[in-house]
Amino acid sequence: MLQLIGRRLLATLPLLLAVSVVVFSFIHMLPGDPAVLFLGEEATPDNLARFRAKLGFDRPLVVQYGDWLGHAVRGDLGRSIRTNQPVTQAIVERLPVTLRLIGMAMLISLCIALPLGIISAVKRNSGVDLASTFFALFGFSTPNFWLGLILIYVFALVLRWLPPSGFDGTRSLILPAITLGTALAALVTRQLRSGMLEVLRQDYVRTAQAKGLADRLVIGKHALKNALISVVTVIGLQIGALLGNTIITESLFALPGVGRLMIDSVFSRDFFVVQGVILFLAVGYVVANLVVDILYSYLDPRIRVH
Amino acid sequence: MAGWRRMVLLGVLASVGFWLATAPADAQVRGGTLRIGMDADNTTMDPHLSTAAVDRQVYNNVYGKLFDIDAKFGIVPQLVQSWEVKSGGLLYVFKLRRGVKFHDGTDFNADIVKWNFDRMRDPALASPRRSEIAPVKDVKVVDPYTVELALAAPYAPLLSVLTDRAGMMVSKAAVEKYKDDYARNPVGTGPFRFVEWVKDDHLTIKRFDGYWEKGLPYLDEVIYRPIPDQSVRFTAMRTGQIDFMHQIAPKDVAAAKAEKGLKVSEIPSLWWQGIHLNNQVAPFTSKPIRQAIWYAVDRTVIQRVAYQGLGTPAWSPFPSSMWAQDTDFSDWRRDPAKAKAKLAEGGMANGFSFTVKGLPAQVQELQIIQAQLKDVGMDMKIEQLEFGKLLADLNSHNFVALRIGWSGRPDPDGNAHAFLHSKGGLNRVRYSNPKMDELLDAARSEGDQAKRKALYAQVTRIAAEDAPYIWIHHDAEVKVWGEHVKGFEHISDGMIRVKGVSLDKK
Amino acid sequence: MATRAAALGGTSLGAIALGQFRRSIVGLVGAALVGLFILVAALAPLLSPYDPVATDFAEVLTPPSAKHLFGTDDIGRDILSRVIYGSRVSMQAGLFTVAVALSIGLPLGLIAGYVGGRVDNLLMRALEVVLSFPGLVLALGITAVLGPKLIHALFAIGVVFVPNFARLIRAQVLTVKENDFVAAARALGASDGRLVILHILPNCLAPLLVQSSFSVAFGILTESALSFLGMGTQPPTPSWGIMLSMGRGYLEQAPWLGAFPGAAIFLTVLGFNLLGDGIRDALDPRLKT
Repeated sequence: MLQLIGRRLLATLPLLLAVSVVVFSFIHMLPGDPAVLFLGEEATPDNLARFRAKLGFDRPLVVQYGDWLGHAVRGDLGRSIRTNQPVTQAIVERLPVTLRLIGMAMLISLCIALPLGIISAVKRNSGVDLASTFFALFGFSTPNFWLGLILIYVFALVLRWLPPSGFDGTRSLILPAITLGTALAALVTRQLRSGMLEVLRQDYVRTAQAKGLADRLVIGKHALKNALISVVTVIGLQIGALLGNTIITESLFALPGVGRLMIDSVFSRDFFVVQGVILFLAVGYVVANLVVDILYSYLDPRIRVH
Repeated sequence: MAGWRRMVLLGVLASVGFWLATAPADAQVRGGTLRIGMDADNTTMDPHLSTAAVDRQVYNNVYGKLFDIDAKFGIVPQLVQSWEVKSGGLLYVFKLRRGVKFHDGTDFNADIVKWNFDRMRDPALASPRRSEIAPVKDVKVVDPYTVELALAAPYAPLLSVLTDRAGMMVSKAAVEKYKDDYARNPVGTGPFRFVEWVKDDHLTIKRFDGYWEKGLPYLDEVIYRPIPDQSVRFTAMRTGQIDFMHQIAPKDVAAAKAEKGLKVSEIPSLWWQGIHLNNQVAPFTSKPIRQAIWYAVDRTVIQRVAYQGLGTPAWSPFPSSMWAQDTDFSDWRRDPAKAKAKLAEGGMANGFSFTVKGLPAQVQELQIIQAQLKDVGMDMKIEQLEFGKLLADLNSHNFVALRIGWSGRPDPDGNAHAFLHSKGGLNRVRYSNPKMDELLDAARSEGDQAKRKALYAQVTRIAAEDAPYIWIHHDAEVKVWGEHVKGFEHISDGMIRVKGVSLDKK
Repeated sequence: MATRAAALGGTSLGAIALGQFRRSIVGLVGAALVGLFILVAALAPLLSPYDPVATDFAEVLTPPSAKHLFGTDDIGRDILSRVIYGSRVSMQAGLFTVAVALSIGLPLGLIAGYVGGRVDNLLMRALEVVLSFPGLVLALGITAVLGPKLIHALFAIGVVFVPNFARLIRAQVLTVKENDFVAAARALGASDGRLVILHILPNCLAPLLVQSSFSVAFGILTESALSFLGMGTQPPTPSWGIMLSMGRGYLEQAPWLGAFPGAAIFLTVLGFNLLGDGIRDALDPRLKT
């Protein structure tokens, strides 16, 4: 098992390296001279030269990359051009909000999807099944910012039960978490349902039922465990979308998270922050995928991960 | 009723009546914490280095100023006890208030005043205040509480300037102790002393027990919270998370007025909003083209739609709160025919395309202008930028057209000179007209207000003709606070002075 | 396909598939919605009561009425007209993103699957790097570099889809490559090119169609998201995403600003998702539950 994890980790390293190269290239893919972009077209050649020297732009690209990477692995992602705050610190300050939001969203989606998926598989073609099919379809197709707006309108402006935006403790995360978790809930419901149906049809389950074991036992022990694998698969596939939707949700609800940091810094052309946040998100995403892979192979030892 | 009993009753009633009449209508309670929602965080706590309007809010409560202004823009002495202007405006004699101490215990006196002026004028510090007090050529200490300012030329706006950051007195001991770190360890003579500042989260100030005005301030503590998102800030106001709100979006004003428990005050401000046209970049190097835009914009529609009827249209840098505004000038109304004629005159009869930079919050106004310009054949594109980047582009001349506002100064010179004078410190459009320079300099040194008004009327006319800026709107100055907040005096400079503010016990 | 049908003995797979599709309500509803969307986009000038960028400063923020069925926005533009024209932007978004994804992904997948070996390895590694970035993050990053314009946003989204399409094609190619009839054709002397075009590609068509349908849905959704964030279409172009963004600021005073464009996005995305589901179910009955 440990060997597996070790091998996977090793395989991920070259990937992370490639990712860092791509992220680094961003700032150098800007049309035109980055110095002119910052200082304006009327900057004197003197100003431009000084700016380039100060940010190290006058060195060969490879050297710059090496320098940046060297700092990055030690946790130094440079400083924000706007506030002069270290990028790493800016990310760390905002990470708790983002993590709490994602955590709550996953919790909510599982709370909806698990019962709904199981019941609709067990009681196939019943009212619940129909409802869950609708929910799965609608939940997946609804643009998550529209859902968010509707939730804000109903629960915050009309009913005044919850705050419409801003961050002031866990209460402010409820509506965003529902917004974020709905699409995921829809997918997990669907996946769980088909996963369970597949298992319930298997011979060994039918045999167990014929032998007279209580329904609940059959479901609980065999079907569920196997169906959970497919749930993990879906969640694993959806992490990317979840991260993307987190950015939108944080923007909509004005939450001070990492996603909002990215948007704000893109708008203010604060390139070192953009670079740092993208690197952080990409690395986080790769690591999350790795965790899911490992979890997956733990749950189903039949699967060989190459 | 027996005679004497009637007398007693009358006596009692009279005493009660007398007592009621002389008791203060709203007895102000001591104590409490006032939470103010701001639109942005402070940039620095050093008034001699500050360039952002938002900084001034905290400064007004932490730093004492030589002078202050009242609701009618009259100059009110604060750290100065009395003053005289001599030699035709070339000499100012300030008699300073005694018994004033800084938060660190040091004394406020003439030496301190001289030291402050020297600091602002020191080229090594590169203080933005330097150009504001440029005409001051020498500061002399006459006696421990008398200072003389000698000017190189008469400068009518001087006292006005000293009601803002240039007049704020900083503790010499503190600057010498903290040096570069002073900006985060400010010491002033104001009613509140600085406690702590957590960037992007809050800034706290506490009552200064050694304040020279006895009995003031009422409040124990004031907390400033930066909430850049307008709707979040407004929600915080409505839900009681903050007690006082700075800057409210025009579209939310109606909702604020309708909300129980909130007080809304709406007065004219000192602001002007406009579009800077880069006079050195085509096509705005051509005067007729700039004039075409001047006549194509419909300011009354913008006031009605984008500002919900609040504020007034702008045809010059002088808002209605200023005596310098030329209310007779009318050549600013929309005239599509004239606009098209000017376009043709400038050789662009078929229209042209350009990009305007602005804040996302102003996209509605910009879209209105976009439609109005399209009507006469001009294709205006909108580029949305965040405030810091917008300001950076403005300062580095990196724009063709840029929409931004100016928070305004009590003296008309403060709204015009820096922008319209060829050597003006904020003239980013590189506008230059010798006649304009002449008028501005004359208005600056003229002591008689009526004469100055006439000069500024000419400034208005020439500026409209040259159209280096397209003035669009003068905002209304709106503040919102909870009805438990008492004693706030709303002045057009938009400053939140909390010295006399108190909170009712809830 | 023809060979497979012959193996089944009787009616062609195509006929069976169509039959399945017709019986599947899901697919039909999807087709109907997509059809409606295409119709609206094509006939926009005829259907729309007003010019979508025409302002009317006297009728700002009016609620839905007989004169303006969906109400007006903050500078007096008719929302119904903007929603109708917005379908064109969304159509562009959907088609262009899939086009970009195909034009890059198709050749990549074909080469990787057909040539195999080290070339395959290299290409798959490259795709893995692209896949290391969460979709929206990558799209945002690319748009940030290129500049906030619709065409840049659509290109960025297309790039995000490339790995999906490439992998799909590659998988199909690998499956078909070893088929008997391909080996036979090769033995008869058919060139590589002929093999690819005549034999391999047609087999990819079915899963490509399914993937395309889902990708159009996702492309429309992502374009709306980018426009909502201010990185896609710029004013005054009517895009559903921008309209939603505006609606956010007026949620209390004028909820109709965001309600209708949001519903439009929802119905269109739902349509394409259902259509994709329907096609997939029809073509591979084994997956139906």
